[in-house]
Amino acid sequence: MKNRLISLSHLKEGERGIVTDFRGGEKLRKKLDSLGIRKGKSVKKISDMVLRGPITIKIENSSRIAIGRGMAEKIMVRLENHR
Amino acid sequence: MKVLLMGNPNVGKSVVFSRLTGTSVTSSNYAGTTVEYKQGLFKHDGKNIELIDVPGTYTLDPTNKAEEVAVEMLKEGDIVYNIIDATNLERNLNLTLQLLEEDIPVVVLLNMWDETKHKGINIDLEKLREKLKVPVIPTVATTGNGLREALDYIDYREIKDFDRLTSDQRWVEIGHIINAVQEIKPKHHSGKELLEEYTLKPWSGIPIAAGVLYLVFIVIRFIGEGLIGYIAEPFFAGPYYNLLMRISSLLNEGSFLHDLFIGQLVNGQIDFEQSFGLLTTGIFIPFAAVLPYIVSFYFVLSILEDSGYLPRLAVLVDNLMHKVGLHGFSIIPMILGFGCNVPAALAARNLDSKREQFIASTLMSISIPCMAQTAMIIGLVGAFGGIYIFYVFASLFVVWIIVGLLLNYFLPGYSSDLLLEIPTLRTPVFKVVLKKLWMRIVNFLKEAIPFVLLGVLAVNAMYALGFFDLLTRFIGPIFAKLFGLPKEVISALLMGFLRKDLAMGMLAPLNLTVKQLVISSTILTIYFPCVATFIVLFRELGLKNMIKSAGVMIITAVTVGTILNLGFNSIFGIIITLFSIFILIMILYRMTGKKHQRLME
Repeated sequence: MKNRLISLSHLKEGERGIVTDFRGGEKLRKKLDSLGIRKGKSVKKISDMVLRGPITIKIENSSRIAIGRGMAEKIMVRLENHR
Repeated sequence: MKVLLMGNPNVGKSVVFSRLTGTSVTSSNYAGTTVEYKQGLFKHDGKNIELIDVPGTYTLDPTNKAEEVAVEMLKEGDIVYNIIDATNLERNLNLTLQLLEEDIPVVVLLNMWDETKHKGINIDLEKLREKLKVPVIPTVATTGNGLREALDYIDYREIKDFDRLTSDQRWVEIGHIINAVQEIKPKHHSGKELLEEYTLKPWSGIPIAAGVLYLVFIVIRFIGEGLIGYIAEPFFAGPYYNLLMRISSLLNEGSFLHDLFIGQLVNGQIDFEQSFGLLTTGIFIPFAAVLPYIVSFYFVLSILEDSGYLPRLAVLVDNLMHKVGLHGFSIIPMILGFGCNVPAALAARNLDSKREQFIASTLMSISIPCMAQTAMIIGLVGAFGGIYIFYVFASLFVVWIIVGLLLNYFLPGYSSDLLLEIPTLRTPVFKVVLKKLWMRIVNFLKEAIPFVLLGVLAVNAMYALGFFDLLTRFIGPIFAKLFGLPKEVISALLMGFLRKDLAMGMLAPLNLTVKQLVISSTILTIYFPCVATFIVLFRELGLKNMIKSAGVMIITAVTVGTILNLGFNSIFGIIITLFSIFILIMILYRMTGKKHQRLME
């Protein structure tokens, strides 16, 4: 269970995950990369807007990024243990 | 000498820009693009310096139009001041390393230096200088600390040799630098951080947004009315009135020039709202009725922008905006539209695609009454009770949703997903807000006033040629039947094509019932924007799309007018109408949802 990959959109509010894979093209990877979302980064989900709105994550201890649902579904993370 | 300010968005670039420049600042579009940048001139050590606030960029490998422009501008600069957020060193260094690889001198400003301490971040400046091999100056732009030292390096021209790295190599390199220079002591959530997250969560964020917007409108009204009551009206009723009366007697009432400049006298007096001369009504409306609200609106908007709240609003409304084919950030032209539709139509060009620009401009023109119009609606309809103001705005909102859903369904394509950095909330710097306000007002005067004057001129010409009478005679009876309005209202509506606030004024002496007033205010908002907006839309969208947009406006106005008139006659009719509207929205909602899914696959 612990090592299963889930998409960012399935992460629950307050949970952390390590970015492991992108299920999208090079363009998506590049866009996310410039915002600091890349493989190996630990992200925490801050909020999940109602009615399939965008989700907001915090990357490590720095920036917060809002990501549309469709894009978030293409970002795969491995669930981290709670600390 | 050309100095470029470059950095990620939200690192305080604009604050540095405002601190360094005086009043000679302009905002313009980069040649051949819709990307805006700011430019300012100042003197340092007797040298003229041109400072350019390059659009915020995360990378020199462009992922959008603004970043493409940033890369282009890099070629024209003598030196780059790279502003980086000290509290987010790792990501910011990505751009810094890319800049160092380029053939241009770079000075690094390590901004928000004061905040590193609060966040438990410790940066070893000496080591960072050693790694980057260029000057690194800690700054606090909001107070101006460190900017003087930064200017000492303005003649710095050394270009250090850095190998070109691939993206992955660069991140590895950044990792080495971070490990060597930065230490972070984990800290607990501060109160501010909690607030920042509450503004993003739906159950707390939506009530906060409602509160913020309510406050925004209260403050805008308060300042706007203050400016009108204490500055604009005393000036127009006093010295300006006397000057015009003198001109009026010089020109002789009834002469061609008198008609053109002064217009018709009402009981031998100039009436700023009814005389319709270029110098009377033509000057009064933009300067006395609209400008005070524009000033007040932009003032509040600048505060909202600089506080970092707007991106949060974009996140909250993103889902709704997607349903009408837009995305979260299109809330900005919508909000701007409440001030004046002209800057809103201009702001729509910053959206991602032509499709979004078309939808945003059309929806904004149809459903968003500008400040001048809102003031008239409140005055006219509100006299019967606040609930009627609500009816007008509720109708407009429903129209916004339905037309948006339809446009989204029928126009090919779909809107891209939101991807947006949410900056921290901060207290706006007064000086920066004032500078922004100043630039916006200058732009407004340059862009809107000529169109308004042109509009008044056009109205005068059409009146003189009997164009309005002709139209009223032909289509008047049809609309009178459909909308249940007397014929006189129709000429006011036609007038509204050119000047909405005036058209509302023409409704006042007609003794309409409140229902008729609600219908006419609603139609008046929907069917066309004022001539100034119309011309801007024409310029921005092009002839073909402008005609399409105008078509949508006319069809919507006729449909809504008819429904409001015939559908809201009896209790039974009201229930049926509301129910059908609800069903229609549900069906459209599902249809657009399915279309989106189809296109995503």
